[in-house]
Amino acid sequence: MSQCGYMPMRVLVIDTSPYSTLQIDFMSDQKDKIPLFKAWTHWYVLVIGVLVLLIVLFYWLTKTFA
Amino acid sequence: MSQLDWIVLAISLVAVIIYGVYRSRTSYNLDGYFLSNRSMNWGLILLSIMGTQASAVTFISAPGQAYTDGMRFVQYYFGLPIAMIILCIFFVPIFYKLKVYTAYEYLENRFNGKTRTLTSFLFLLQRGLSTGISVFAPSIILSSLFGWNIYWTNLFMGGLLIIYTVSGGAKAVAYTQQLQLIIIFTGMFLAAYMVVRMLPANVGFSDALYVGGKLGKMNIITSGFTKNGFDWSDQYNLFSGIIGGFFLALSYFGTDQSQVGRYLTARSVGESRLGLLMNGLVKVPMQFLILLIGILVFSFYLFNKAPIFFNSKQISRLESSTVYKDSFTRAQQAYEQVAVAKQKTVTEFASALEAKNDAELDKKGEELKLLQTQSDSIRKKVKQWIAKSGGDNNDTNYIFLGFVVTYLPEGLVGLLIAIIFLASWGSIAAALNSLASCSMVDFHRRFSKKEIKPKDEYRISQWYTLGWGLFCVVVAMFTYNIGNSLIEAVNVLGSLFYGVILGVFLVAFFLKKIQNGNAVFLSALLAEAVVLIVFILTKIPSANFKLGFLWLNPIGALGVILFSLLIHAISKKKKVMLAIHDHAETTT
Repeated sequence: MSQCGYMPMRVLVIDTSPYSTLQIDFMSDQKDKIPLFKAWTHWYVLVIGVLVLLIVLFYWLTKTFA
Repeated sequence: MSQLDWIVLAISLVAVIIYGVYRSRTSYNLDGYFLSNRSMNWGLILLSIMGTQASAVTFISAPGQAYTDGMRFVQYYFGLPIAMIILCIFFVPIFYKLKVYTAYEYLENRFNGKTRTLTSFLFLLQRGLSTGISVFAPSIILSSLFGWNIYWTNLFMGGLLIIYTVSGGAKAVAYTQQLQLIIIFTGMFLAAYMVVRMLPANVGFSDALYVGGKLGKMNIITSGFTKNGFDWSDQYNLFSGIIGGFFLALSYFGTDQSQVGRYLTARSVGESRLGLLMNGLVKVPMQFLILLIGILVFSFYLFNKAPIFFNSKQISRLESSTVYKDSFTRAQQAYEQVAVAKQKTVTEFASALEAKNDAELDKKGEELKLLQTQSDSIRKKVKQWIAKSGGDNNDTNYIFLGFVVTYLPEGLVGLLIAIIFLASWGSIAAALNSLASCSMVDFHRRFSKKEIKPKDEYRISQWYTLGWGLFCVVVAMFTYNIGNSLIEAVNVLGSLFYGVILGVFLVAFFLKKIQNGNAVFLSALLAEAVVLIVFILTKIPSANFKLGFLWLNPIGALGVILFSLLIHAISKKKKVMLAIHDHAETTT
């Protein structure tokens, strides 16, 4: 684990064109301080989690008010 | 509108213009004009993204949509949070690393100039026309409601924002969107509060939802499945919302410059990501709350007689029609009788709800359903007559505003009308800024033979913004003469092209083995042809082929990917064959 609590970075090479040096660094931009969480992945999980919760809540509202 | 309403409206609009001009100061180069020198924090990015997406029609139409069709429209946004995550992982870092001004600039780096030109041109065409419609759509509603001159309304709707958009570029757009959204949310909250307050004393917020739910309006989650299996023509259900909505959101936020241009102004990748993720968190609840206002208005109109049709201009058309006048008078009388019966029944329903009398609740609920079916069928007939007499039979956009004008107190009406203008300005200003950036960066800069100084680039960009602003106002003026069919056509235009443009970007990002720009260009053309054929088939009744428009987005995107892979495989095979042939020739 790195200092920031990340797993070793996974890198996806996206092309081999003249811009082949360009790589997407999934968990890069470590210079940026990530608010609230230690990794962006946690933010992604939060967004998905909230979406799932909303769908469950909406389903419950549908059943309750219908 | 009263004098007080006019004052509130004027103060709101002038305040936004002055604030926009005040915030206009930026450096005199393209970085300053189109990217705000990459200085924005995530909060501004979030509000700017939301302000760009939410047009006037969002705030006028969504409550009307809930009134007529229920809450299920919210499912349309379920794919958006997932799209935000994909953008944050793949799109944002690339755009930042390459320091692009426009999304299409990346495609030249990845494939060739031709692909960049094609996608940027498609964007200019589609966005230019749809922005013109964005000027016209709220103008025609206000014009019908208040009897305002449509040309002047168009000019105010699309003209005033040009002042700060030209002078301040992306920075002015972002800061004014912030102020606009504050005013918009305040106004919408006050409107919702007033609806609940105007309900009978024994009917509260949850009672209003319960009444709406009893009549099928709380259909928030629908599966899209019927007795005959999945209904592909159903526009809004859980699956079309998650899958189709995902592709639509991904293409809109990832490849439409009006959105890409907003988050490119962030001071870092992190700020950009946070703005997008926050949008993913707040968009669905926000849309839910706006739709909920429609349910409250629906319940309100059960206790208070609703008009038979909310666009009074179309009612006048029937009243003066020699063919439908008598039928309409009879229908109106029948509708009023049903409305009186509904008022009585819903009051009894509310009393049963208060007394927690389940048996009475079920009985009155069934009676209410029957009465609602009767009033719906009368409304349906009236709509058919309006359509047959050549009028616009969709009154969804007039429901909420009709309520505002008739029932809300002085001052609040002015504020709600200001919301219509401000919501329009937010999305139109962002569109003008993005149209100017594509014109300047993707075309002018590339094809200009002279070297242009940074300050001159800044000035030319201002001229492009002004030019596109005038173009959109002119489109709005012509739309009035051409009629409603064009509005529908341009609305569909987005779905026809978004999927294909997204497909090109997906190939660029994920299919590293595909290097041939010409293959991708050809694939885009082929996929576009497939999308158009599918769309045409849905429009031919004899073809008996039904498909919701959201599905056109995944078809376009997957089409480009599949064709690219196919062409790549064929060309690879050809190369191998040629190599074998060459080898055979040299050996013989």
